[in-house]
Amino acid sequence: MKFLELAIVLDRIEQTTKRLEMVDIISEFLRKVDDEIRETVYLLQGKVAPDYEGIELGVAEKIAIKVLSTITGISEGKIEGELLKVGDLGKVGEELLKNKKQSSLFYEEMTISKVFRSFLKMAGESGSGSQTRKIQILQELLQNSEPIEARYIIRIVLGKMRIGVADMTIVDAIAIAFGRKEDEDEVERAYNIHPDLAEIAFTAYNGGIEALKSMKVKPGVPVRSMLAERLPSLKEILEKMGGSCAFEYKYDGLRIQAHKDGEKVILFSRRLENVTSQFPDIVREIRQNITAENAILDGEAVPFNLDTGEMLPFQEISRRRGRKFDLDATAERIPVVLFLFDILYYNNENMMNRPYAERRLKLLNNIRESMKLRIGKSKILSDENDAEKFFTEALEAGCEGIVAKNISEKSIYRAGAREFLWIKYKRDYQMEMEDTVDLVVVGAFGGQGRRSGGYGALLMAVYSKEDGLFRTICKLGSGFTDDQLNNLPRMLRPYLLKEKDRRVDSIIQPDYWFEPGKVLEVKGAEITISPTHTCCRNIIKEGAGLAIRFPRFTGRWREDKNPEEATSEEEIMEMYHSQKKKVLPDNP
Amino acid sequence: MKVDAKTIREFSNIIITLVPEARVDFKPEGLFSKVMDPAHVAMIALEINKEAFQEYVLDGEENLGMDIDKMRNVLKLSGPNDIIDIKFDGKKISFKLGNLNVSTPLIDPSSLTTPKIPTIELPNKIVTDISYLSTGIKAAEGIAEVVTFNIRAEELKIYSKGETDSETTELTIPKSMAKEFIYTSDARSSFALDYLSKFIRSLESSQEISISVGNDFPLRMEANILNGKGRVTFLLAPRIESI
Repeated sequence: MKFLELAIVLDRIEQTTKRLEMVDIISEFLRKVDDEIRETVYLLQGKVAPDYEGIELGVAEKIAIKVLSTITGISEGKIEGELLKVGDLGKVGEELLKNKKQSSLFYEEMTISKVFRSFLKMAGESGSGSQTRKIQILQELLQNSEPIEARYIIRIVLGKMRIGVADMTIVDAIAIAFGRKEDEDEVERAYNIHPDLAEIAFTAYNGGIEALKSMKVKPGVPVRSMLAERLPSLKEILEKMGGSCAFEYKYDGLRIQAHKDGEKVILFSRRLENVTSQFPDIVREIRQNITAENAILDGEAVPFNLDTGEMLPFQEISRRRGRKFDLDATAERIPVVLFLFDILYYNNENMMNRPYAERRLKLLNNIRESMKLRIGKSKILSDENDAEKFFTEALEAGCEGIVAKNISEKSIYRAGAREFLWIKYKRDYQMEMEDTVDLVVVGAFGGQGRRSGGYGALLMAVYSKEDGLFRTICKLGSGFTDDQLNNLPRMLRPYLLKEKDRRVDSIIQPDYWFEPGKVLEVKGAEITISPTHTCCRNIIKEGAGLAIRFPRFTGRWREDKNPEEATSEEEIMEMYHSQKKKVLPDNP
Repeated sequence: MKVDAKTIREFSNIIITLVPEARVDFKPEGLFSKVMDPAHVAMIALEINKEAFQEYVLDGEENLGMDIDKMRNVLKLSGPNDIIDIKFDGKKISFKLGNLNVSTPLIDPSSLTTPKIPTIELPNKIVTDISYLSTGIKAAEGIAEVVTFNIRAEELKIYSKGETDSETTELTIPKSMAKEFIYTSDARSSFALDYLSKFIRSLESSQEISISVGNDFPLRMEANILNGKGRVTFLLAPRIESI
């Protein structure tokens, strides 16, 4: 079929904002295109392959402008000027072709599959000379284009389709084209486990909606992630779950769906992008510790300080995104731990329709945990107070909250669904700690990994003027340089004690105790409720104290301060109340 | 086969004005190549008779996909009168230059498009010394991107206009200066200078050139190269505006 016909359909879609009208236009066209259906569906989405394959056309705006200039004979500067005015190079190109100044020796009519093949060829170009060859292909396409075709060819190569067709619109259109409207659910089911609409359209075109039922989960092809609903209180969550459910830590990192297929490991983000290259460390870990022939696992990658065993703020992980070079070095500096919480596929067996408990058991029994590959923390609870305690523990550990998971027989892995089988519970705001605090070293923990032999983290305390006691407020392991770390044992030796100093009030049992003496300046993200620290215990909440979240040594030793001059418990209380409230976006 | 470096250099200089890679057909009577730029604005058909070669031994007919860019790198190593010994098998082409032997891979010829040269009937034709034409083109290069060919009963005018009306170039080739002057009707067409200048600059061994012009119609130029042992045809699509 002529590409021109597709271009006209794209234009019709662009003209409407009504979803149902789009569905009609698309379904009608899908019935007409015959064996070019795959190509058509990809081009409707403005791509040449499903997102998870990570294939991009990689044409910069500058290059497209250059090509337009060559074939129209209008200077690049003038085209750039037009682009500034119009804001869409597709439209600019269309207008230019309407007023084209350079004729050509002959035209070739373009079919949908010819245009598609040209795009594929462009996407496949790499290495030296690839830019020149891409330019040639684009030139040839635009040379043969009618103005309206040029609009879409340019937009597709730039990756800016702008016609607003959502995946679900195409799902509905496929149902109507090859079945009935009621078949939407069946098409969506297929889409959830195989998010490649072109493949789905092709299957339905060949074998009808019935054929979609035979589409199966396949390692290497991402499954759309199951999402959690949200309720405002733990009480409501427990009620909704029938009185009892599993609670899991909601790690604050990057959702990762890990696929193992033989020796091949592929990692997908929640948006199903292939992010494998960003996490060479996780790939290695999976290859070494997952013995199954094939598997699909769901989890969260969290930046982690392996020396202190603390989670780091989520932002740390984003430093990896978009990086091409030195990933191994970055992996060393910002290590990531993958916390697994679900298993979708294992040794050729689809686990998605098994209940939660069975999947959890499969995970526990088959995954060998390692330093960087762990199984997420989970507890089955039925009491609201216990759940609240679990929640504060999660927050203190650096999580953003907890997720409740239904433990009944019907609790399967529902790909792509956001339902009440999973319910998340997060704080909807975060406090911001503005000032630094001066804390006293009262204990230390033996280091692991790079820090083995020395101290991995220090137990820090504030001073209670009223009681004359040092109360713990955080573990501090971040912000030290290697030199400072190496020097810690020597610096703290004069204060080392065999047992806890009588003036120290602590529930936590560190590996070493110190007489309160050294004062360090510390900056934290916020002051939060803590079930483990003794600072301000039982004041704001029964059975809980206050802690500093994500504490970090500023590098300043307060030699000028004696321990009784450190930040006081009373000051912490005041700071807790005066923290700035920052409303968190509801990132699902 | 053996050939002097300047022959093969001229061949590559002409082809490269439009494409970096080309399909070259080696036939018993000589080699042939037809290329078109990706924008389909210009086309070149080139032939070199076997007489231009010192030695031309061929087993049947060969269609080779040649990387002209790479070949030019080899040519840079040679003097104009050096003899290059060329051999090819299915995968590579080798150039032997004295004691130096360089091979480059061949490209699958089916991946290279060879255009069909359209038959274009043009009403007017003038054969002239190539140096006249090249002066007119060079003058225009300085001020414009487009040049116009205008033929009338007595003369061919090649002119261009800069950004202002006072900036112009105009070359007149009167009938008297032409070797051949066939006139049917007044005609005028404009062309992108870039294509024209590159092409004309690539013709090192030509003395005369024939220019056929229509009205808002493609331009055809033909010239003998290599002392009559080769021939090149150039087609160029017109600009639609005229000045």
